[in-house]
Amino acid sequence: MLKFEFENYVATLMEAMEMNLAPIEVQQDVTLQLGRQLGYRLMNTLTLNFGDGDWAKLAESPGLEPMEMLLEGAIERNPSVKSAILEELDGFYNETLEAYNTFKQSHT
Amino acid sequence: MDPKKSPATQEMLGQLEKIQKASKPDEVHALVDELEQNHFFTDGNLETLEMQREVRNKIDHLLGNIKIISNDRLKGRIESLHQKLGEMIGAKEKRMETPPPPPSEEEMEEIEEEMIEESIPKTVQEATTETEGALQAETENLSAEIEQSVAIKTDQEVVRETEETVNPGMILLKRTLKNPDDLGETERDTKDPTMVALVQLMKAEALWPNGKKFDQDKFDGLSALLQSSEKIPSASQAKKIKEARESGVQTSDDMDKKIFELEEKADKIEGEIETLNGQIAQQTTIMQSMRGQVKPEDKKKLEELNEKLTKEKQGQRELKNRLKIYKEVQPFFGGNKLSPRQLLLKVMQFTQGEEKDLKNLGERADRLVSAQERQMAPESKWDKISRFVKPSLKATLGELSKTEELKDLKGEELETLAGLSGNPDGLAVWVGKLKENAKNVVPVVMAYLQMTIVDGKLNIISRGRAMELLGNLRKIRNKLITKKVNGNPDLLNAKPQVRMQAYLNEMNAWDEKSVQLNRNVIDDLVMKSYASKASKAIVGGVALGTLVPWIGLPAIGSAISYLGWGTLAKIGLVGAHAGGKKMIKAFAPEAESAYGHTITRMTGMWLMGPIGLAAPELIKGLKFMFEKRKEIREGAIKTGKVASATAGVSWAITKGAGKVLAWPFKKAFGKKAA
Repeated sequence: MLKFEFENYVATLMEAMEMNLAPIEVQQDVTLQLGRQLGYRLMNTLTLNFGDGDWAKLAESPGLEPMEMLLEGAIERNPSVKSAILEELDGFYNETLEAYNTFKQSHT
Repeated sequence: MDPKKSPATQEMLGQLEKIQKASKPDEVHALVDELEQNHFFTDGNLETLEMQREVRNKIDHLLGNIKIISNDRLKGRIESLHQKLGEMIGAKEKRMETPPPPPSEEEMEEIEEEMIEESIPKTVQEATTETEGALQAETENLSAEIEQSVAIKTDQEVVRETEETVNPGMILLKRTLKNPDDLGETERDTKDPTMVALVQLMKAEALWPNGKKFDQDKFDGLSALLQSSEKIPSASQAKKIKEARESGVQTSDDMDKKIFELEEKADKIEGEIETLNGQIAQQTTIMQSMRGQVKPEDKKKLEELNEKLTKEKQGQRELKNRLKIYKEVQPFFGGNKLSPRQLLLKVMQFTQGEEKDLKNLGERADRLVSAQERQMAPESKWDKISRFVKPSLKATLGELSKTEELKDLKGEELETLAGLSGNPDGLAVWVGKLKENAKNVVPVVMAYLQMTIVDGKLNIISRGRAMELLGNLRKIRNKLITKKVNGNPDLLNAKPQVRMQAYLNEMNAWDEKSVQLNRNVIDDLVMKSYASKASKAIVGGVALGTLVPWIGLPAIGSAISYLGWGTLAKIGLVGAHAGGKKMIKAFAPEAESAYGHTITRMTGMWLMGPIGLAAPELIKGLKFMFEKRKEIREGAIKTGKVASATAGVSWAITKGAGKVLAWPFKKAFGKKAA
């Protein structure tokens, strides 16, 4: 379930930023960068809930797949961490769109 | 047939023989039916002990030997007979025991005298009555004292006391009513922007004699309004309010909590008293059943129980008195109390005429207070920060705020950077190190924050506070990056999507740096904390016997991987601190920077040392090892002796005592070794 939600999340964010208007290499890079940034963000969430072990693993190999596995494992251990993860995702979504809108306005 | 056995016994034994020989369960059931009616199993008084025992032995034999008894139901029935017989035999045996001889007349007289002379515990009733009487007398004396002490105060003193104990709004009210000039004193003395706003408002509305025009009618009207809405305590209540405040009760929430706690305590004491009463009653019964032969230990037990009861009752009485006082003054901690803000709103309501909308009034009051806050000396904010931040850091941040990257940060954002500190030393160190390169400050500080989130476990900063500050800092970071991207000439005409790419790349670059910094800082701080804990444990004498080897062995494991057994043995033989250093220099100079210091100390201690003397050295050695963990790791990998190093580490970890202390070793070795 989380994996499905996560993929949707990234796709929705890309769509909100109208990434289809950008060259394909830019789209690919942005997807990767989004994943990395989310990794760093979620690192904090896991640190708060579980301590330093999980974030260390996440920091070593940020990317969609390993992060999903890590999060799923974390939720299994502590189901209540899911709400903290989703809150972090919401926060990042809003900040990213805010930055995009700033760039869009300055571009026009 | 044995003539010594009664006919009934003989018949019983005969029936049991039949059971032994029976081949069908139905037969046995019928025989057992008859046995159950036999007086052997219905009346133990009819046969002698000897006969009863013989029958029981026969049944024992049956239970152990015949096949038919393998039927569970049959077995159960026969076992039941066996048990009944056993109980009858037991009861008879007990009755037949020789009772103790009764006390002689002289002994009886002695016992009676003892009971009269010594403090044989009174009944519960008597003890309670006596205690209550004493406490009652004490309470009355105390009340009289209090009343007397209050009576000698003058009215003015009582009024002043009331003001001081109730609320600052009351101070203002009283001063305004009695002496309007006192308002100026309030304005000068208070640091509360709400109070200042209130005074300014009263000046503006000519409700204060030092205003341009003093309107007496308006003043009188306001005074009446304020006075009617405020409950004023009596002199004795004022004293009680003061005592309550001195015990820590400040707000109505505090009071509610206090009362709840005391009521809970009272319930608990009530429970204790009930238990004690039960125990005393039980003990009394036991002693009474001994027909005057009261044992000294029983008397003592009863005395102790009564003492406990007296103490609990006393505690209960004190608690009840205290509760009574708190409940009496509870209304003065809430409800009718006017806070400065409420006063401000009341004055605004009075002066604004038709303005009845409290929400609008509240917003206007907030604006008034904010204006006062802004007017109040700017350094008051820095005063607040300075409580947590060293002057050197303050100066550093002041300089940084002038740099290109940070100059457009608002006061609150700079305050966030400065106010991070639960650990001003740590922040000062980081910021000081990167002073010359301001654009690195934010990632460093973010690393610090992330570190402090982890360190929330170490009580340096709370998680909630850290998350809040992290959120603020992200906003600062986002702003700076956005500005950088927009200011990049290469991206002048770039589409927003391309700028987003640059933005995200920049963000990740900063976070990556933060993560790297984070690790080092976490390692450092965690190590300090663990070393501190370990030090306390060692000094406290916890697991001293096992702790040292578990620390020493990993260190030695690492040393073996780097130095080899031979060198280590040579070092060990020397043992002494200074001598070991020399040996290290002679045999393995390259090790000195990585291990020498540590190994010398640890090996020497392990071979020689009383643990108490070794404790400070242990910690230093541990710290040193940790500081050099990179070299250790590299050395272990280089020499290919990782396994022995990790074996030493694993040993420490699995032995449990090393869990905390092995963490830095695990961090240093575990990843690569695996």
